[in-house]
Amino acid sequence: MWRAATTLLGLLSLFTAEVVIAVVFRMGLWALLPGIGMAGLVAARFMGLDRRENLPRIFALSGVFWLAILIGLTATDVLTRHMVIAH
Amino acid sequence: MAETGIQYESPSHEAETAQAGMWLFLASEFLFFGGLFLVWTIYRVTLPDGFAAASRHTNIVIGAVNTVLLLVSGACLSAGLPAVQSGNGRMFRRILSGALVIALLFLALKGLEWHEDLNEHLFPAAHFALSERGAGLFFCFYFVATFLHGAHMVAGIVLLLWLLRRARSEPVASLRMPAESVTLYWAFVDLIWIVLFPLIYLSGRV
Repeated sequence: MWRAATTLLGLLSLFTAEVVIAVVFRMGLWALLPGIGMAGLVAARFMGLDRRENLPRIFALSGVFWLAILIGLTATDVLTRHMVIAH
Repeated sequence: MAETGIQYESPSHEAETAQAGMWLFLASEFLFFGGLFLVWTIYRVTLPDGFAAASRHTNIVIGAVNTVLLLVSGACLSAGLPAVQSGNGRMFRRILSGALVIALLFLALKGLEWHEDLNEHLFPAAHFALSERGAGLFFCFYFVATFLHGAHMVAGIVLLLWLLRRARSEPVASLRMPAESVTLYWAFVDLIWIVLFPLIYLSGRV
């Protein structure tokens, strides 16, 4: 119960930070950073990656690894092309 | 206590296999949603003005309330696992019921938000309200992503109902494995929304 409560408190703090960054400071893209922190907190605490045995960690890291390849290869294509948008 | 299948050496071996299976499924789901996030990133880079303008037309209040609801439901289910381990069936059933109510509230608010969006002609089809280049693509992403997330929520609700039914008829200590798997799935649904929320509602507020 204590573990879930402290995690929720951390998540709500990060959530408040991302909303303030976007709505008050108008820096919407920077709001993604607390969002990444929230995702990490959920993975560690609610999904138990911080205290499980190694096999689930391997699955989780594999998912991140293949996603990094997907995004990395696509980004090299998109970011190195000169795009002309027809009007 | 449920019997261990003949293919397993011990109950702990069976539990580890179930957890590994759920993690494998979630890793594939991560790639499934990852493709969607990739598409958002590409078009946010190539069509920044249209994406930002469209993002400002989303209902941030409903999005924020839904985020808090999901975070609370995830915490509830996470807090339910110790109740299963200690055999406290009453507490576990209460927690499951609370998470169910929150999940239904989330879907009701999402339905209300979609209703508003359709009334404001934000569906990217004929009579689309926004003229900025890329705004239609943003709302394509919005409707597809929120629909897929909602479909996963519905699957989660079915799992919660199934678990609640079993918790009423079986000793709760025998439900440790399915309770852990459902909690894991629900946390993943939380995680996807946590990524979607800033992409949809916050990224355009610049």
